[in-house]
Amino acid sequence: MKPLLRLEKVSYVYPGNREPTLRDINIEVWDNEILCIKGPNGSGKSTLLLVMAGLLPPTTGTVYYREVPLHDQFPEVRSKIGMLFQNPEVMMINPTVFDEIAYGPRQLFDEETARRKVVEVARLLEIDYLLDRSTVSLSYGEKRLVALASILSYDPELLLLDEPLSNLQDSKIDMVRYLINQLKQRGKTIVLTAPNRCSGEVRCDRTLILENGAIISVINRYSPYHS
Amino acid sequence: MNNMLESFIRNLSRLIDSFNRTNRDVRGKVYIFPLSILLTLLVSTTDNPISLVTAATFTLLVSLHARDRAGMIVRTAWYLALLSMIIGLPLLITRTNSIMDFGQLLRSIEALKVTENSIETYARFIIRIILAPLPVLATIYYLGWPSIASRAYRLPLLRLPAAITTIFIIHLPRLLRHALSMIMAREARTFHHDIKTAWKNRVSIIGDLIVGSATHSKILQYAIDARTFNDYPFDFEARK
Repeated sequence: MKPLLRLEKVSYVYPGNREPTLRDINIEVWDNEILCIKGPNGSGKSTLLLVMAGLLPPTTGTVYYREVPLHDQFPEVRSKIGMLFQNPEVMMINPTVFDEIAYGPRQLFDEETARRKVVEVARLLEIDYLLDRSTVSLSYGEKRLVALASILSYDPELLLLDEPLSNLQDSKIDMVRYLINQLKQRGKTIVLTAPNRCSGEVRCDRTLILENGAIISVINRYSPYHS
Repeated sequence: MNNMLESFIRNLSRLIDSFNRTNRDVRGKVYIFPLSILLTLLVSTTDNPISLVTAATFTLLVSLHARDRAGMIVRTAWYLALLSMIIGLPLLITRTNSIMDFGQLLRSIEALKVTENSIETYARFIIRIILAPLPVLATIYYLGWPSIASRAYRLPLLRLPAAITTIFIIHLPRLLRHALSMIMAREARTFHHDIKTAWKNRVSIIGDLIVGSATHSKILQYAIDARTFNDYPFDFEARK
């Protein structure tokens, strides 16, 4: 069985920094699993997701997607990966919520199909009443849901979610948790980050603990022991 | 002075933010936007009085229709007037056909008098600065940028300029608000309120602002790249 995503000896140093943000990371992400990455602020969780998405090329090491180097598959492979940024405001690049959610589908499908996908996802996330609104006028929590909808709308097989539950109302947290669990049931692979506290009731198959850019522990839900 | 600067930044960010208010009552009236661009081009390239009057009339009509947004249009006109009045000040003492170097200027400083002709040039300058962008800005306030951009997205030729303008309109107020919050955070911990300290505070945000905006634009670029499946952002036909 081949992993969906594999990071081999990946390190990343931000330009101008001496200390690496990620050190010698080796991970395999398997099809249809939920992998949770936990760690304190500044431990490299967001950087790791950016490397997994291929947005930051690793300083050393290689990222493989279905055992082919990720960077050899650009830009086509991007439609298979959905990345939710920690700050949803940076994902707002379109005038209306509809255009924002349609940004991905419009590149892949005709306008009618794109419209249908937007409406479907908006209903799923209970934000269909926002479709005509400007992306600027939304609350932070609404922006987070719109950002999530904008990646779900093009149906990627791998979802990289950077702190998807932060800054959401309690009722919305429950909905997103439920949605993440549902997405797994629909065959999606999900990698999410969470601060040290917890990712709530998201049923993670594996939890990876990151500290100072290195993996210090991997907890497998199906194993009573930490490896 | 401090309050003036803060209020300027706050109002500027509000003005740009208000471009983004959608207006449900104006569907079907988007055709006035190309007309407003035409008027802006006309006023910027000629100083024909007819084009100035046409632009002014157009803006007035749009303002009358805009109702609750008319205040924004007036405020924008006021800002443009204020800026052009400051920038245009040298016109009051400038003579036509007389280019002087700095030495000559110092020797003949008494000859630099305000004349009827220079006042007219100054007034024309201010009027053109106000009236050139106002038809477009008033139309955007009235229609709401999302209504205009949504239609522009359907035309491949206009898609990229519309997208760039949208990103600018969405993210510039954020940068301004960030600058404002940095000034306020510094002031909250400053206990000596004199001009020197106030300016020190203001100047000290510039470095942070440059670093902050560079970081923000980099993450914004990642966010665009992450959802762009071909080599060109906003090219919706490339992969179909």
